[in-house]
Amino acid sequence: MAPDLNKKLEDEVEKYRQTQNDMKKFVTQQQQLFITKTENEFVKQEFENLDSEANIYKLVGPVLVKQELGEGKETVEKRLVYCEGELKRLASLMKDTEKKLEIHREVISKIQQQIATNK
Amino acid sequence: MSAATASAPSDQQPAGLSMAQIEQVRTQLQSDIEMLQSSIQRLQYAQEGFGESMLAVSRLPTNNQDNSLLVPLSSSMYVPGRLSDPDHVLVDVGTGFFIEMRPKKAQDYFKRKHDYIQVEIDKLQKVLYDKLLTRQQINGIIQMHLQQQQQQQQQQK
Repeated sequence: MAPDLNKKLEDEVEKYRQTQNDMKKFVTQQQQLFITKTENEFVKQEFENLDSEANIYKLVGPVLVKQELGEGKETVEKRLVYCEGELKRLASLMKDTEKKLEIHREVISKIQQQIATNK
Repeated sequence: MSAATASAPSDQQPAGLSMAQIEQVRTQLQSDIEMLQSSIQRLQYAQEGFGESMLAVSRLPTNNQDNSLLVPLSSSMYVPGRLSDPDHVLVDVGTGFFIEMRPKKAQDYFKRKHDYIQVEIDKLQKVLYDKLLTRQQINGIIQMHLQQQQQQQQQQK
């Protein structure tokens, strides 16, 4: 009985570790998205303060291309919407992963108790 | 140990926590402090960049002055040239966008960024200061515990 339980424990701990790794990846992605979002918000602010006569340029590879202020604003706005969507998706993914982690923890503790009482 | 005790110094009940828990809190505090210090350093570095840009723009010659300069073609070769339009500068505002501005506007932009970073640095410094204080308190508590332990050991002899 005990060896089976020990194996079960090992499996559960392994699953827990994998879920933790997933969580870490999500956190990193979230941080990256925050950075991108903030950067785009800065640019949006700067664009708001410009009048329509101002010239803006976009860096496309090694080339600086002149752009319409309206187009630039649109591009930034689209990026912001994308970031927010991704952040929301990540947030709900992270909530689910947190729940998974909690379930793993409970299972692990139950198995540990069983092992203890069987001794 | 609950996460709450690690991040709310005012809630700590020193007498109620065991030595192991206090050690854990101290380790957590230490890593928080290090993270804050490195963040503040990175912010200061970025701030310096904006300060230098401000300086660079202020040194631009106006149309009435001589605006000849040397342009680097490689790391060891320069060619003489002239600044064609000292009235406009292209400012990198992030995410691949550049805005054409007058030098004065560019300086305002850099000053704004510089000041904004200062505000953020100040916020972090406040948090850092609180954590440093808490760490001091915890070190004091640990000291007390150690002394008590020593006294107990001496009495048992």
